[in-house]
Amino acid sequence: MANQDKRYQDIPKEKFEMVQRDEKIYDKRFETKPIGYFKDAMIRFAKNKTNVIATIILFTLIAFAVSVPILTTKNIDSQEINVRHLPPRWPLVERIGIFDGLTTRTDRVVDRSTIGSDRTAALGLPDHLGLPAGVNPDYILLDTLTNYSEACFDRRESCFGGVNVLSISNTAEPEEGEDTMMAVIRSRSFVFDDSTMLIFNPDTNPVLTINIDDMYTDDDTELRILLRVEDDDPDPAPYQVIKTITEAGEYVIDDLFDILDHDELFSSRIRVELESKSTDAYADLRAINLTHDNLVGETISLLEGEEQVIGGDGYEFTYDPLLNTYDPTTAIPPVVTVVVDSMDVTSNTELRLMMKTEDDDEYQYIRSIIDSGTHHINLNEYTNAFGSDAFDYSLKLMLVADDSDAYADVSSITFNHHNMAIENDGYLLSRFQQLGPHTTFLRSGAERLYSSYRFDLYASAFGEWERRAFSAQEFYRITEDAYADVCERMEDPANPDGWQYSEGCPVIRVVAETPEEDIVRVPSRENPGEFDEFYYYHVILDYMIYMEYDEMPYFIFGTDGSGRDLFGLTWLGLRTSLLIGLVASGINITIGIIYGSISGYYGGKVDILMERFSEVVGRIPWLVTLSIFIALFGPGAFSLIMILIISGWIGVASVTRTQFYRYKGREYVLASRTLGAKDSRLIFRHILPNGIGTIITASVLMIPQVIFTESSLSYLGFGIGHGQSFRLFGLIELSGVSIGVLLSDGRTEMLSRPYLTLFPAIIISILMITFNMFGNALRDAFNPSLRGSQ
Amino acid sequence: MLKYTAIRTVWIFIILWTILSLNFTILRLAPEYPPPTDEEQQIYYRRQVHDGYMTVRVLRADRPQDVEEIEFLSEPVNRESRSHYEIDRRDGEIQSIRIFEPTPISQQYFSWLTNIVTEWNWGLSTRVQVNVPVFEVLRSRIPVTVQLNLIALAFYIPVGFTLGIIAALRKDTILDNLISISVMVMISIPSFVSMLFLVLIFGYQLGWFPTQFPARDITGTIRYTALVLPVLGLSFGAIAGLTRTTRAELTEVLTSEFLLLARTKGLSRPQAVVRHAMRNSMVPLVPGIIFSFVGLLSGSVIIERIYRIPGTGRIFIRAMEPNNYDYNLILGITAFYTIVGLFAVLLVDLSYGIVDPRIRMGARK
Repeated sequence: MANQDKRYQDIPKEKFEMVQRDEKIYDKRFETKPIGYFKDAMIRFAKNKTNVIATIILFTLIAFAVSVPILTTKNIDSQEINVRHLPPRWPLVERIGIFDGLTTRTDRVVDRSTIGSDRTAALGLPDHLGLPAGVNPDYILLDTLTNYSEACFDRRESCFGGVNVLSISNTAEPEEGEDTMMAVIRSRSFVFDDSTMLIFNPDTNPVLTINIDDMYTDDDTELRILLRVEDDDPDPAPYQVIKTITEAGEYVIDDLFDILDHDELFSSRIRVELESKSTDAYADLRAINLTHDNLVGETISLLEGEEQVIGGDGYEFTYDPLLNTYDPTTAIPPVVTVVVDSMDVTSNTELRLMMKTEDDDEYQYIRSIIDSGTHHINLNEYTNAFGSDAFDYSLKLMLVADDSDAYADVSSITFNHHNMAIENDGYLLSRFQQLGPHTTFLRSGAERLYSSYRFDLYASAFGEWERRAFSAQEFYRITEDAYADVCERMEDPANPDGWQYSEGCPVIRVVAETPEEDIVRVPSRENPGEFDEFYYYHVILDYMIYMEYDEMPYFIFGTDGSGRDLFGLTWLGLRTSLLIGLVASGINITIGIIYGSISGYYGGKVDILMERFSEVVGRIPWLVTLSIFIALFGPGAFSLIMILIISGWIGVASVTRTQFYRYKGREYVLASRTLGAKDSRLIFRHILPNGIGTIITASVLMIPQVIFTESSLSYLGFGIGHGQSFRLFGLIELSGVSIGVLLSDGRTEMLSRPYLTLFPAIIISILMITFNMFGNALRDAFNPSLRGSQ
Repeated sequence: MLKYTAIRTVWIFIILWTILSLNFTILRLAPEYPPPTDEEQQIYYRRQVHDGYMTVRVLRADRPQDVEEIEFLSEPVNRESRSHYEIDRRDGEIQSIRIFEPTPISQQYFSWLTNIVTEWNWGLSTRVQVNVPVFEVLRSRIPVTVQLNLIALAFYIPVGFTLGIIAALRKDTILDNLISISVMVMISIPSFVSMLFLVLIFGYQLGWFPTQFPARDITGTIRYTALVLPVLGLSFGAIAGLTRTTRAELTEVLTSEFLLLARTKGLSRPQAVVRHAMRNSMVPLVPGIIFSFVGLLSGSVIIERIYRIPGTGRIFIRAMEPNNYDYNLILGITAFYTIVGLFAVLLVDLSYGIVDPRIRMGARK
């Protein structure tokens, strides 16, 4: 300033010049255009570069909020469970390891059976490393995989080793008439899953081994092993005691069929009871193991066979069916080893392995053996039956030949089914249910093996996914409509029931169609008397094509718990917040201007009364308004907007009132009044237009305030929420997502998925900062005297 | 001055009474949520009768004049939704019905007023701590909230002042600009967002402070370290506000003539600033601080929720759980916040006269 002053200080006299000597100035129009009020303000506004930048950012945010929800190709409204919880992934920077879409997973339980197995060997992993249970190893970054153990005390299977003590700790007195207290330690069933039975087959010499590491011993304490034969009878047979144990040790029961007086194959459940008079009794039951012998076949020959069956094509001989159980939690799909010592190969002789599951009516063909030797047949390669459900099945061998002299000498049929021999160090105890409050389960020295690794969630989410019940409607939409040109149906050599599609089709393979009996038929509405059929396909999908992405997508903010794109969602939420802010501010400004005008214009008693009223309303804490509207109308858009406007108009009203006091005594108002103008004309035509600039600039700052409150309330759960949608004046439809809602969603996952909180928080912070700067800049520009004061 | 104080105090009580009455009346119109179990309801409804919100009458099957009404009420459809019926059945036959009927809201209102004025009885909590008097529930919570807010107050006032003074004295320097920008950032970010950032960075990522408030029975240094994040989260906005007003007021005073005079008299700059400028810029700041305490207090509702602090705010959120409302508790808590807020207003009004004797409130011109 000082420098400028100096410049104008010593101006020589001759530089001055009279503007006009001969004309009168009021005759002449200004040559320059006068700078209007708004233009002047704009010039002042543009001078502050920081504010200009803030304003540009603000309008960019608004532009994003308007355009992104409309233009986005990613999913922002429906649930896509497959792609949920994807971390942020950014192009370019992903190469240097930031936002690369990988997540570090720790404390994932290791599947012990994978340690040193063929699976890990095939992946090139060292012998001591195991893979995490239930995770597809293709998507693990194997060089980051590490295993570590931690102590555990719970009863889950993965908690391994250690000592288990089941004890009765009943301190209560026995009831009258009872001289023993009995704690029943009951297994839901001995087998690993409720839905399956443990099968005892007389041909496989089942041996039950019971290991008791330690046991309280006195005359009245006994541990009983009970077994119940399960049959179709709705009234099941009672549990029979098969062994009574009084001291620790290993007990082998190999004469189960004699004990039970049973000679056929049966399925069963096992239960353990500990009975004692002592309150200190316990039994440390480590395991109950069941082992089967291998099945040993015999020579079968058409010559020797008594029952010769002559089929349509030739002669058939059927070997007795072998019954077995498959349970995915304990067993891998079995490998059948058939050793054929010699075989007649002259007359189209085939030894056919057939299989029938409990759902099938007839035996299904698995594979033919046409020469002698040892044949390992992995059943899983020939049938799709071995899925995630347990079932019983039976196998048989069939000899088919043209000639009745044909024979095959089968020396053994072995099931490589080793998991069926249940051998565990103690987790079986975990399956026991404690009955009554008096039993306790203690575990010490047990460990659980964990793994930590980096995981490629994107590859996993957009890889191959199996859909067991894929709706037929969707299936036809894809294969015959949307992707008809790329989906070319081809035979699947591995699976005669299904088929596969050419590359580029979202459906890679069809494993099976709905079995006839599972088709749901519902009487048709349109054609009475007929039925609508609902059926589905069991398919393998390529999720990337299915989700209509040409390449792996970039979710730059990640995805939320429902698989929606957080980037789109954030802008959608911002749009909602902005619209609510605009609407509520609009209402507030309207009410405030009308109220302030009346109060300021009329003055006197009216003014005093209205001032007192607005003081009372303004003194109501927001907690009170909140409680009233939530209790009466419930959380939602209506309550939210009402809470925002109930005391929001007061600021505008007081600014308006001040403006009215300033202008209402001016001469032009008096003149107009003298000419007979009505009050409404004076208010709306004369006074208000003069004060409106100040009022509006003061009101601009209300929008960020309203957004501020809206997001806080939504965060607390009193505002809008997911799944809601509402209309404003029947025109604009808003979704229930706002930034507050998004932040509220991420609240519980701040540790594991901080990005769910981070990105919306950053966006709303930028919005609030720039909005406030914009508002302040606007006020400073229109009203320079207020600069910096607030 | 005395007259002014009296008028203001009466006026504050009028506002307080209006707000609480309004709140009471409207909440009585909302659907009721009595305690959940039968046993608790028995206690609750007897207490309601005792407090004058309900009346009770008994219908007996052995009294002939009641038989018709018992017959009528045996159908659940015929029962009033706001009344409560305790039905005594023996062998499937209704022996007696005890009917608890609400008195008219106007009568309830006067009972409520009498209960509070004479017995300080705010009713029983119905959902949060069933059948515990509301004031008992609040008694253990209020100190937590007030303590937290006082610590925040003690923290933000010196910080805000210092920043504001620095900014004013170094006006239009880089330091001033930096402070202005951070003030703008702090004032703009909603307190729950800044609290989330604090917990995310210092709680989870760096692990310096606990990520939530420790339970009541945990002792040790964690009780003190756990205060750091909520105090910071609470005071950000307040610091920003105080800095901005201090800067504005002080700049104005610094350019005024009396300061020039002080300097001309030969006072050094620090002397002039401390003795003359600071004192005069105090006038609008004191009310600002009192108001900001009220702001802090109601703002702490959300901080308490994020950081799981067992204060009044958190209990308010619990009492406001959708379709599980605890009206008596809501009334009690809102009364607490309203009273604190209004007395702050009173204090502000009176403090004007004390801080600046030139201001004569209510004086005739």
